Amino acid sequence: MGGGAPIFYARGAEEQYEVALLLAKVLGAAVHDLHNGVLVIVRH
Amino acid sequence: MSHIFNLVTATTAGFLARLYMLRRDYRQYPSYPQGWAIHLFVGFIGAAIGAVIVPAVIEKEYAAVSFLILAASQFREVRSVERDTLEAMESTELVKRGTAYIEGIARVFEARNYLAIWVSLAVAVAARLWPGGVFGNLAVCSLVGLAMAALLSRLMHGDRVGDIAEVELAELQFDQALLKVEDTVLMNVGLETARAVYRERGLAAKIIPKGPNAKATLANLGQMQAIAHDVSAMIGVYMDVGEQEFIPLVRRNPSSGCLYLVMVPSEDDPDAFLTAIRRVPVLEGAVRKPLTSVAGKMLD
Repeated sequence: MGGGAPIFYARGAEEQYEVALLLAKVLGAAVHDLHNGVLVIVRH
Repeated sequence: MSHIFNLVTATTAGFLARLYMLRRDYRQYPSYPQGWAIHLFVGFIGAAIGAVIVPAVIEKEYAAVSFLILAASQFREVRSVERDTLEAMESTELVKRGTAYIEGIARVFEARNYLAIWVSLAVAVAARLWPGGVFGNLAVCSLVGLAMAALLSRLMHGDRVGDIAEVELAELQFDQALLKVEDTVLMNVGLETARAVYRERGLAAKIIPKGPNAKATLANLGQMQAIAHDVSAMIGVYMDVGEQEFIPLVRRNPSSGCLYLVMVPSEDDPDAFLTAIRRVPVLEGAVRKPLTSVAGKMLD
Protein backbone atom coordinates (compact mmCIF):
# COMPACT_ATOMS: atom_id res chain seq x y z
CA MET A 1 0.00 0.00 0.00
CA GLY A 2 1.51 3.32 -0.99
CA GLY A 3 0.68 6.96 -1.59
CA GLY A 4 0.16 9.82 0.78
CA ALA A 5 -3.54 9.47 1.59
CA PRO A 6 -4.38 8.79 5.24
CA ILE A 7 -6.09 5.45 5.87
CA PHE A 8 -8.79 4.97 8.49
CA TYR A 9 -9.64 1.49 9.71
CA ALA A 10 -13.16 0.62 10.82
CA ARG A 11 -14.52 -2.31 12.84
CA GLY A 12 -17.43 -3.07 10.56
CA ALA A 13 -19.55 -1.82 7.67
CA GLU A 14 -21.62 0.41 9.92
CA GLU A 15 -18.63 2.21 11.44
CA GLN A 16 -17.03 2.41 8.00
CA TYR A 17 -20.05 4.30 6.58
CA GLU A 18 -20.24 6.51 9.64
CA VAL A 19 -16.57 7.54 9.41
CA ALA A 20 -16.81 7.99 5.62
CA LEU A 21 -19.87 10.21 5.97
CA LEU A 22 -18.26 12.34 8.69
CA LEU A 23 -15.05 12.75 6.72
CA ALA A 24 -16.93 13.57 3.52
CA LYS A 25 -18.93 16.25 5.33
CA VAL A 26 -15.83 17.74 6.95
CA LEU A 27 -13.84 17.77 3.70
CA GLY A 28 -16.71 18.68 1.36
CA ALA A 29 -15.87 15.56 -0.59
CA ALA A 30 -17.63 12.59 -2.20
CA VAL A 31 -17.45 8.97 -1.06
CA HIS A 32 -16.74 6.29 -3.66
CA ASP A 33 -16.91 2.55 -3.17
CA LEU A 34 -14.13 0.41 -4.64
CA HIS A 35 -16.27 -2.76 -4.23
CA ASN A 36 -13.55 -4.52 -2.25
CA GLY A 37 -14.53 -3.26 1.17
CA VAL A 38 -12.65 0.02 0.71
CA LEU A 39 -14.28 3.42 0.53
CA VAL A 40 -12.26 6.22 -0.96
CA ILE A 41 -13.04 9.86 -0.20
CA VAL A 42 -12.25 12.27 -3.02
CA ARG A 43 -12.72 15.98 -3.24
CA HIS A 44 -13.41 16.68 -6.92
CA MET B 1 -32.73 71.58 -36.92
CA SER B 2 -33.87 69.50 -39.87
CA HIS B 3 -31.91 66.56 -38.50
CA ILE B 4 -33.42 66.65 -35.00
CA PHE B 5 -36.55 64.69 -35.97
CA ASN B 6 -34.40 62.14 -37.74
CA LEU B 7 -32.04 61.74 -34.78
CA VAL B 8 -34.75 61.46 -32.16
CA THR B 9 -36.82 58.88 -34.05
CA ALA B 10 -33.86 56.71 -34.97
CA THR B 11 -32.32 56.82 -31.49
CA THR B 12 -35.65 55.98 -29.89
CA ALA B 13 -36.16 53.08 -32.30
CA GLY B 14 -32.69 51.66 -31.55
CA PHE B 15 -33.21 52.10 -27.82
CA LEU B 16 -36.61 50.36 -27.93
CA ALA B 17 -35.07 47.52 -29.93
CA ARG B 18 -32.42 47.08 -27.24
CA LEU B 19 -35.14 47.13 -24.56
CA TYR B 20 -37.11 44.47 -26.43
CA MET B 21 -34.04 42.25 -26.71
CA LEU B 22 -33.30 42.72 -23.01
CA ARG B 23 -36.78 41.51 -22.10
CA ARG B 24 -36.29 38.32 -24.05
CA ASP B 25 -33.40 36.98 -22.03
CA TYR B 26 -34.68 37.05 -18.47
CA ARG B 27 -33.85 33.38 -18.01
CA GLN B 28 -30.42 33.47 -19.52
CA TYR B 29 -29.29 36.13 -17.14
CA PRO B 30 -30.89 37.10 -13.85
CA SER B 31 -32.72 40.34 -14.33
CA TYR B 32 -31.59 43.04 -11.96
CA PRO B 33 -32.08 46.79 -12.11
CA GLN B 34 -28.39 47.74 -12.27
CA GLY B 35 -27.74 45.34 -15.14
CA TRP B 36 -30.70 46.76 -17.00
CA ALA B 37 -29.47 50.30 -16.46
CA ILE B 38 -26.02 49.41 -17.82
CA HIS B 39 -27.29 47.61 -20.91
CA LEU B 40 -29.99 50.15 -21.72
CA PHE B 41 -27.51 52.99 -21.52
CA VAL B 42 -24.96 51.22 -23.69
CA GLY B 43 -27.78 50.37 -26.10
CA PHE B 44 -28.81 54.03 -26.14
CA ILE B 45 -25.28 55.06 -27.09
CA GLY B 46 -25.34 52.46 -29.87
CA ALA B 47 -28.70 53.73 -31.11
CA ALA B 48 -27.43 57.31 -31.11
CA ILE B 49 -24.37 56.29 -33.13
CA GLY B 50 -26.58 54.55 -35.72
CA ALA B 51 -28.83 57.60 -35.89
CA VAL B 52 -26.03 60.16 -36.30
CA ILE B 53 -24.40 58.37 -39.24
CA VAL B 54 -27.09 59.43 -41.74
CA PRO B 55 -26.99 63.22 -41.02
CA ALA B 56 -23.18 63.05 -40.90
CA VAL B 57 -23.07 61.53 -44.39
CA ILE B 58 -25.60 64.07 -45.70
CA GLU B 59 -23.53 66.96 -44.34
CA LYS B 60 -20.45 65.36 -45.94
CA GLU B 61 -18.80 65.10 -42.52
CA TYR B 62 -16.83 62.00 -43.39
CA ALA B 63 -14.40 62.49 -40.51
CA ALA B 64 -17.40 62.30 -38.18
CA VAL B 65 -18.52 59.05 -39.80
CA SER B 66 -15.05 57.56 -39.24
CA PHE B 67 -15.19 58.59 -35.60
CA LEU B 68 -18.62 57.05 -35.19
CA ILE B 69 -17.39 53.76 -36.59
CA LEU B 70 -14.45 53.99 -34.21
CA ALA B 71 -16.87 54.54 -31.34
CA ALA B 72 -18.78 51.43 -32.36
CA SER B 73 -15.66 49.35 -31.82
CA GLN B 74 -15.87 50.25 -28.12
CA PHE B 75 -18.76 47.82 -27.80
CA ARG B 76 -16.21 45.03 -27.73
CA GLU B 77 -15.68 46.10 -24.13
CA VAL B 78 -19.22 44.98 -23.34
CA ARG B 79 -18.23 41.42 -24.02
CA SER B 80 -15.26 41.44 -21.65
CA VAL B 81 -17.26 43.21 -18.94
CA GLU B 82 -19.99 40.56 -19.15
CA ARG B 83 -17.42 37.78 -19.15
CA ASP B 84 -15.67 39.21 -16.07
CA THR B 85 -18.94 39.60 -14.19
CA LEU B 86 -20.12 36.08 -14.92
CA GLU B 87 -16.72 34.56 -14.16
CA ALA B 88 -16.65 36.42 -10.85
CA MET B 89 -20.10 35.04 -10.01
CA GLU B 90 -19.21 31.51 -11.08
CA SER B 91 -17.88 30.55 -7.64
CA THR B 92 -21.28 31.36 -6.15
CA GLU B 93 -23.15 28.91 -8.38
CA LEU B 94 -24.03 25.47 -6.99
CA VAL B 95 -23.87 24.12 -10.52
CA LYS B 96 -21.28 25.92 -12.65
CA ARG B 97 -22.23 27.60 -15.92
CA GLY B 98 -18.92 26.68 -17.50
CA THR B 99 -16.67 28.90 -19.62
CA ALA B 100 -18.39 28.04 -22.91
CA TYR B 101 -21.78 29.23 -21.65
CA ILE B 102 -20.27 32.40 -20.18
CA GLU B 103 -18.57 33.14 -23.49
CA GLY B 104 -21.86 32.59 -25.31
CA ILE B 105 -23.79 34.98 -23.05
CA ALA B 106 -21.05 37.63 -23.31
CA ARG B 107 -21.12 37.39 -27.09
CA VAL B 108 -24.90 37.76 -27.21
CA PHE B 109 -24.74 40.91 -25.09
CA GLU B 110 -22.14 42.45 -27.39
CA ALA B 111 -24.07 41.50 -30.52
CA ARG B 112 -27.31 43.04 -29.29
CA ASN B 113 -25.73 46.48 -29.22
CA TYR B 114 -24.80 46.09 -32.88
CA LEU B 115 -28.41 45.10 -33.57
CA ALA B 116 -29.55 48.31 -31.87
CA ILE B 117 -27.17 50.22 -34.20
CA TRP B 118 -28.62 48.46 -37.28
CA VAL B 119 -32.19 49.24 -36.23
CA SER B 120 -31.51 52.91 -35.60
CA LEU B 121 -29.52 53.21 -38.84
CA ALA B 122 -32.37 51.64 -40.84
CA VAL B 123 -34.91 53.96 -39.21
CA ALA B 124 -32.68 57.00 -39.83
CA VAL B 125 -32.43 56.09 -43.53
CA ALA B 126 -36.21 55.55 -43.74
CA ALA B 127 -36.93 58.85 -42.00
CA ARG B 128 -34.66 60.65 -44.45
CA LEU B 129 -36.03 59.00 -47.59
CA TRP B 130 -39.75 59.27 -46.81
CA PRO B 131 -41.07 62.45 -48.45
CA GLY B 132 -44.43 62.70 -46.59
CA GLY B 133 -45.48 64.64 -43.49
CA VAL B 134 -44.48 64.09 -39.87
CA PHE B 135 -47.16 61.50 -39.04
CA GLY B 136 -46.61 59.50 -42.18
CA ASN B 137 -42.91 59.60 -41.47
CA LEU B 138 -43.43 58.40 -37.91
CA ALA B 139 -45.59 55.53 -39.13
CA VAL B 140 -43.01 54.47 -41.69
CA CYS B 141 -40.24 54.70 -39.08
CA SER B 142 -42.21 52.52 -36.66
CA LEU B 143 -42.85 49.94 -39.36
CA VAL B 144 -39.23 49.86 -40.47
CA GLY B 145 -38.02 49.68 -36.86
CA LEU B 146 -40.40 46.85 -35.97
CA ALA B 147 -39.61 44.88 -39.10
CA MET B 148 -35.88 45.33 -38.62
CA ALA B 149 -35.97 44.36 -34.91
CA ALA B 150 -38.13 41.32 -35.65
CA LEU B 151 -35.94 40.23 -38.55
CA LEU B 152 -32.67 40.64 -36.66
CA SER B 153 -33.84 38.94 -33.49
CA ARG B 154 -35.22 36.09 -35.61
CA LEU B 155 -31.90 35.73 -37.39
CA MET B 156 -30.03 35.81 -34.08
CA HIS B 157 -32.29 33.24 -32.44
CA GLY B 158 -30.30 30.06 -31.90
CA ASP B 159 -31.52 26.50 -31.60
CA ARG B 160 -32.52 24.81 -28.40
CA VAL B 161 -31.59 21.30 -27.34
CA GLY B 162 -35.16 20.20 -28.17
CA ASP B 163 -34.59 21.28 -31.81
CA ILE B 164 -31.53 19.10 -32.35
CA ALA B 165 -32.32 16.12 -30.11
CA GLU B 166 -35.09 13.90 -28.79
CA VAL B 167 -35.35 14.03 -25.01
CA GLU B 168 -36.94 11.19 -23.07
CA LEU B 169 -37.02 9.89 -19.52
CA ALA B 170 -34.62 7.09 -18.69
CA GLU B 171 -34.35 4.79 -15.71
CA LEU B 172 -31.44 5.16 -13.36
CA GLN B 173 -30.15 2.08 -11.60
CA PHE B 174 -27.34 1.01 -9.30
CA ASP B 175 -24.86 -1.76 -9.92
CA GLN B 176 -23.47 -1.89 -6.38
CA ALA B 177 -22.08 1.64 -6.04
CA LEU B 178 -22.11 2.45 -9.74
CA LEU B 179 -24.88 4.78 -10.88
CA LYS B 180 -25.90 3.73 -14.36
CA VAL B 181 -28.39 4.76 -17.00
CA GLU B 182 -28.87 2.01 -19.54
CA ASP B 183 -25.29 0.69 -19.84
CA THR B 184 -23.47 3.97 -19.28
CA VAL B 185 -21.80 4.46 -15.90
CA LEU B 186 -22.28 8.01 -14.65
CA MET B 187 -20.57 7.93 -11.29
CA ASN B 188 -19.63 5.95 -8.24
CA VAL B 189 -21.86 6.76 -5.28
CA GLY B 190 -20.21 5.30 -2.18
CA LEU B 191 -22.72 6.08 0.55
CA GLU B 192 -25.91 4.05 0.89
CA THR B 193 -27.76 7.13 2.15
CA ALA B 194 -26.88 9.01 -1.04
CA ARG B 195 -27.94 6.03 -3.17
CA ALA B 196 -31.28 5.99 -1.35
CA VAL B 197 -31.81 9.66 -2.22
CA TYR B 198 -31.13 8.89 -5.88
CA ARG B 199 -33.51 5.90 -5.87
CA GLU B 200 -36.23 7.91 -4.21
CA ARG B 201 -36.00 11.31 -5.89
CA GLY B 202 -33.49 11.06 -8.73
CA LEU B 203 -34.44 11.63 -12.36
CA ALA B 204 -32.58 10.60 -15.47
CA ALA B 205 -33.01 11.65 -19.07
CA LYS B 206 -31.64 10.43 -22.36
CA ILE B 207 -30.83 13.03 -25.01
CA ILE B 208 -30.73 11.43 -28.45
CA PRO B 209 -29.13 13.59 -31.16
CA LYS B 210 -31.03 13.93 -34.46
CA GLY B 211 -28.19 13.18 -36.86
CA PRO B 212 -24.40 13.58 -37.05
CA ASN B 213 -24.37 17.39 -36.77
CA ALA B 214 -26.37 17.27 -33.55
CA LYS B 215 -24.19 14.44 -32.26
CA ALA B 216 -21.03 16.50 -32.76
CA THR B 217 -22.62 19.56 -31.17
CA LEU B 218 -23.82 17.69 -28.10
CA ALA B 219 -20.36 16.15 -27.64
CA ASN B 220 -19.02 19.58 -26.64
CA LEU B 221 -18.10 19.67 -22.95
CA GLY B 222 -19.31 23.26 -22.62
CA GLN B 223 -22.70 22.26 -24.04
CA MET B 224 -22.93 19.37 -21.57
CA GLN B 225 -22.15 21.67 -18.64
CA ALA B 226 -24.64 24.25 -19.94
CA ILE B 227 -27.37 21.58 -19.91
CA ALA B 228 -26.54 20.67 -16.29
CA HIS B 229 -26.49 24.33 -15.24
CA ASP B 230 -29.63 25.46 -17.03
CA VAL B 231 -31.76 22.52 -15.98
CA SER B 232 -30.70 23.08 -12.36
CA ALA B 233 -31.47 26.79 -12.72
CA MET B 234 -34.92 26.09 -14.18
CA ILE B 235 -36.23 23.33 -11.93
CA GLY B 236 -33.97 23.57 -8.88
CA VAL B 237 -31.53 21.06 -7.49
CA TYR B 238 -31.69 19.05 -4.27
CA MET B 239 -28.28 19.71 -2.81
CA ASP B 240 -26.29 21.85 -0.45
CA VAL B 241 -22.78 23.28 -0.62
CA GLY B 242 -20.16 20.52 -0.60
CA GLU B 243 -22.53 17.67 -1.44
CA GLN B 244 -20.63 16.48 -4.44
CA GLU B 245 -22.71 13.33 -4.85
CA PHE B 246 -25.71 15.38 -5.94
CA ILE B 247 -24.10 17.66 -8.50
CA PRO B 248 -26.08 17.09 -11.74
CA LEU B 249 -24.05 15.10 -14.21
CA VAL B 250 -24.12 14.85 -17.97
CA ARG B 251 -22.27 11.92 -19.50
CA ARG B 252 -21.97 10.67 -23.05
CA ASN B 253 -22.33 7.24 -24.54
CA PRO B 254 -19.39 7.09 -26.96
CA SER B 255 -20.96 4.53 -29.29
CA SER B 256 -24.36 6.18 -29.82
CA GLY B 257 -23.48 9.81 -29.08
CA CYS B 258 -26.46 10.01 -26.68
CA LEU B 259 -26.17 12.14 -23.56
CA TYR B 260 -27.46 11.09 -20.18
CA LEU B 261 -28.40 13.60 -17.52
CA VAL B 262 -28.87 12.49 -13.94
CA MET B 263 -29.89 14.81 -11.15
CA VAL B 264 -31.94 15.07 -7.99
CA PRO B 265 -34.39 17.92 -8.66
CA SER B 266 -35.91 19.83 -5.77
CA GLU B 267 -39.41 18.99 -7.08
CA ASP B 268 -40.19 15.60 -8.52
CA ASP B 269 -41.85 16.59 -11.79
CA PRO B 270 -40.66 14.58 -14.82
CA ASP B 271 -42.52 16.77 -17.34
CA ALA B 272 -40.90 19.96 -16.05
CA PHE B 273 -37.55 18.14 -16.08
CA LEU B 274 -37.89 17.13 -19.74
CA THR B 275 -39.19 20.55 -20.76
CA ALA B 276 -36.26 22.23 -19.01
CA ILE B 277 -33.78 20.08 -20.97
CA ARG B 278 -35.51 20.82 -24.29
CA ARG B 279 -35.33 24.55 -23.61
CA VAL B 280 -31.58 24.71 -22.93
CA PRO B 281 -30.00 26.88 -25.64
CA VAL B 282 -27.50 25.31 -28.02
CA LEU B 283 -24.29 27.27 -27.48
CA GLU B 284 -23.01 29.07 -30.53
CA GLY B 285 -19.47 28.01 -29.69
CA ALA B 286 -20.50 24.34 -29.46
CA VAL B 287 -22.16 24.06 -32.87
CA ARG B 288 -20.33 21.66 -35.18
CA LYS B 289 -21.39 20.73 -38.69
CA PRO B 290 -19.35 17.71 -39.80
CA LEU B 291 -21.86 17.07 -42.60
CA THR B 292 -20.65 20.17 -44.43
CA SER B 293 -17.19 18.62 -44.83
CA VAL B 294 -16.24 16.05 -47.44
CA ALA B 295 -14.97 13.60 -44.83
CA GLY B 296 -18.10 14.09 -42.71
CA LYS B 297 -20.36 13.30 -45.69
CA MET B 298 -18.41 10.11 -46.37
CA LEU B 299 -19.10 8.92 -42.83
CA ASP B 300 -22.81 9.61 -42.96
